[in-house]
Amino acid sequence: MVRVRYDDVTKRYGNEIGAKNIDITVEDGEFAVLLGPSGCGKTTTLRCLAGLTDPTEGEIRIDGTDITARHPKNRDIAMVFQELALYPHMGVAANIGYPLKVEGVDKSTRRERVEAVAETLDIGELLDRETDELSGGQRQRVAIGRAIIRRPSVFLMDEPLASLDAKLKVEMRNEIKKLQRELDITTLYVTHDQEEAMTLGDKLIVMNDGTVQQVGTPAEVYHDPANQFVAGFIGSPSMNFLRVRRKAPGSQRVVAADDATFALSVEGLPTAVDDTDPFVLGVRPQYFSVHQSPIDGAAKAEVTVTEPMGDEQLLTVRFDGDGREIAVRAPFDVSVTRGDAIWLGVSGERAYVFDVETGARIRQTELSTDTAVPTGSRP
Amino acid sequence: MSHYSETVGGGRYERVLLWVEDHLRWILTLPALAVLAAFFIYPVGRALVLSLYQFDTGGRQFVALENYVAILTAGAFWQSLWITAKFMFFAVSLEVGLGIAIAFVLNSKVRFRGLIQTIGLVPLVISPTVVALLWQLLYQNGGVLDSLVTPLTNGPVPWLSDPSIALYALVLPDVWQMTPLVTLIVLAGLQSVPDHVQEAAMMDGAGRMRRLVDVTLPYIKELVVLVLILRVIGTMRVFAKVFVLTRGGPAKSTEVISMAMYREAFSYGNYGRASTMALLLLLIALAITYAFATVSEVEF
Repeated sequence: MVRVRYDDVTKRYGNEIGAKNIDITVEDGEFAVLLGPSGCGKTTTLRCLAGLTDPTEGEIRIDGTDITARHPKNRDIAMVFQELALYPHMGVAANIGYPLKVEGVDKSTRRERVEAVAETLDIGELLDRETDELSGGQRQRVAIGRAIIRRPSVFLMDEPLASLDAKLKVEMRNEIKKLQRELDITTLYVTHDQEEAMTLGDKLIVMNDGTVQQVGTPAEVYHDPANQFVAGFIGSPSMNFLRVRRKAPGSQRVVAADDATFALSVEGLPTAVDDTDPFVLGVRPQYFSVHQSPIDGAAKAEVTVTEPMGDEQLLTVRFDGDGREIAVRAPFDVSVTRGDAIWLGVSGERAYVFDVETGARIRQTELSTDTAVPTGSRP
Repeated sequence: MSHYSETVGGGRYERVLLWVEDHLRWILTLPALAVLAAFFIYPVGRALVLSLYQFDTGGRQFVALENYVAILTAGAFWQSLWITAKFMFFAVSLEVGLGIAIAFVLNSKVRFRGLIQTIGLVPLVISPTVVALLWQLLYQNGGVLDSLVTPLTNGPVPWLSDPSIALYALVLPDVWQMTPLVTLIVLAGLQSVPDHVQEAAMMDGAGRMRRLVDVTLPYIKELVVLVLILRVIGTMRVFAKVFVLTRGGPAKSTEVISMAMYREAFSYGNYGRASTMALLLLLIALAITYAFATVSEVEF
């Protein structure tokens, strides 16, 4: 049982906040992904657990034991760095076996375990090579091998795939996931790539500006975002945000907040949205219904860019009389070109409402969250 | 390149350009090679020729390898070599030891590091002769050093006139002047050790000593070997400090090889012997450099 707990951890660098009030739990064997844009504090959060950065406030516990003040080497945590940090003057086998050497494991046992790990990672034939003779993917495997050989209780990875090309990234991603399942080691993984996070994590911890924005399964953060930041950060292309207000008190029709340039029907707007105060309506590109003739409740828009993508196409459109562009996914058989008019409808279940000032989600009093991720809508 | 000449029609101007492009590496390196030839190959060749002659009042006379035999069988050369070796050993050990230690201190979080580094480099930019003159003042009877050590020694120390300590009195100015060079080079090496590799070792369970041995030292090994070679050769050629401070005395106790060479050439006018000694010194320097590089498995 290895359970990691951050208890109100804050890290300050002088007046700058690195991470603020981090209060999260990663359960035994869980694959948790810290996700957020550059500078959001995810690496700081990870380094606090590794012991490479000392938190200014708060405690970090592993299985209830406070390890906040412990030296990194006494935490039983292994880490894969973004730069991989292989020892350049050691060969592959020496790199993988280094943690065992430090532990004082004898040479023959070391060799056996190095071979076993190399076999798992499919780099058995590379053991006698120098690290500078390896490709990016192979170096990656060596770094992972070095981290897992000790069978640590917690496994940390700081953007380990950042330097790989797209194809290799997907391949390594799958292997990391498989390996984590097999080893059943509690894992914290840092990335700014939401696609990587969605596919790898059991639990996503979305961060921004040093604070945790939402913790949940990939489906939860995608379909039930806690705020406008999470809604916009997760999903590709990003969710569209429209600043709107009810057309009239109690109306299910919304119009552009400032100039009423478009009007759109949205069923089931939260009652918390007051009469005609502005709010932000968030709609993912694939949740617009696209019509080529006027229908009731749909807003007219002009197509400015079309990007065919096989089964579907990505349209960039502009509401009539409105300068802002939004992205819309349409089936491939909707035949439109630049300059054509289309009408966009929105299903209330697929629209999110956010506070204009705080970006906080405004929910319907009762909301169903058991929506599965529809095929093809994954980023 | 040929397809160029076809496309441009093979005019005279184009042909010249193509020739330049083809020979560019030679054109670019030739000036450097010429300088090397003028300042290295020619003097060595000249010394080689001179070493085969004996010089006396009647002019020069070809003696084949006689100079070599005379020098290698005479005790004076070996005595000078031994004195040079002693000087080298003490100077290099202190310079490299201190230099590395200071580099480690400066590599940690030290306040005013830039200022300390800059001040530390001052001795390095002073000419060895000036350094020697400075130390001559320090070593003066009743001078600064004497006043410092008087409580311990009950009187002035004959720094440069006692044969048993004069050589060590020559070591000090060299250490004072050249330690910053070692620090400078080793510090550059230390700063090239990436933080993440140190951190990886930390995560792998390595303590401070282990990290020093397994991570830091391998990173700076080549630079340490380089600086060792530079200082071994430097101390082997030490001349200005000896010339200014002791002229090889007292009682030849500081007669290092370059001093002996100088005396042979400019006091006795025997350029043949002096050249022979110079060549032998060159051979020794080459052998030491090769030995260092081989033992440490460093390639430059």
